Amino acid sequence: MEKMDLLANPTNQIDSTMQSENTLVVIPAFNEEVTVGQVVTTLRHHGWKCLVVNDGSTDQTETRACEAGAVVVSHSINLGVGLALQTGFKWALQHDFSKVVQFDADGQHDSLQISRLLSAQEAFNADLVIGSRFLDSQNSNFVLSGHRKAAIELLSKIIYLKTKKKITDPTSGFRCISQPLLEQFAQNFSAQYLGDTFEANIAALEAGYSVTEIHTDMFNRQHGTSSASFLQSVRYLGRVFVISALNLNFKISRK
Amino acid sequence: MKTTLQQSLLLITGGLSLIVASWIASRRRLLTVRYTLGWITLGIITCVASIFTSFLPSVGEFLGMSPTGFLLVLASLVLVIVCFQLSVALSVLQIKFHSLIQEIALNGKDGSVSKSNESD
Repeated sequence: MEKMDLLANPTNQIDSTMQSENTLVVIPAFNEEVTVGQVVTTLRHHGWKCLVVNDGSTDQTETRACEAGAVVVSHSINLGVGLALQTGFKWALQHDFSKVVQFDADGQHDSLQISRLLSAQEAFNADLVIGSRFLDSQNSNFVLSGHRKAAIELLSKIIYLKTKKKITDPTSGFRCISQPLLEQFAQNFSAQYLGDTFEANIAALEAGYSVTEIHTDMFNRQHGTSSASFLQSVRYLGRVFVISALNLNFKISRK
Repeated sequence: MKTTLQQSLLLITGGLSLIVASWIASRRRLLTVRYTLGWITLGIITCVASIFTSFLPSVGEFLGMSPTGFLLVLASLVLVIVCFQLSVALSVLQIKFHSLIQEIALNGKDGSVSKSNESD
């Protein structure tokens, strides 16, 4: 992937007022009461408009997010991160936003890097910009257990086999999705685990949308445990194999 | 010959029970009309098919099965078809359910809370 000098500075403090005008930061959250407040406060401090999609949390996530000043929409029942995101996309379109930045509620992502995602989006006119943890592996401080690293590399290979494009971090949850891809994802999205990331990448690439990656540093998890254990990873990978081999991944209209 | 007669009676009993059971369930609103009609049709087919049990030995023999075995295969096949249809119905419901939860989320709160964002 290409890399531009103006994007290289990780604490690029571009005045975000222009960018924040039509950009919505969507934060899917399921039982993230400990971190979501801080995440929203930081984002709002930097001038971003945030939407927290509370995905049927049983804790104080909704209250904490509201207190911090986010717009909150709540699923009454937990539907999974994919559908929570899709709700965010639908909300964004209803309120005339043309770009959505997906951001984690657990504090893994750095709000200072949002400007870089958006700059890359403008520079490459990309429909999807992925913040990759592995694009610049020498400068990465992100620690990942062995099996997860291997799984991510495998997913990357499958994407290459299917689309002939290289995505170094196919499961990254730090992305910028812009129109017209946003509308496609609002209509069609996957509810499966890995569907929101891995499958969405394939869907966008197969339909001819431009996908760019930039390197972004991420913090190691502040709170809670990673969503997949070793056995689960194996199971999910098995599912991904079948879905990819039989071409069952979700589809969107061509650009 | 005696065996096929017994099997015919058994099949008719099964078919009639199915019709009666689905009729009762429908009256108690435990089944929608769509599924009631499906099960009643299946009951009628079973009853009608029971007349033709005399064919069972020859067809079974042709396929290398005993008459009872052949009947069992037929029954299993029907069950597989029903299960598959149920999976399809369930999937459709699941998708509708997901959209419904999203719709409620989008329509429920946005007006009142979004003001907090506009004030900055």
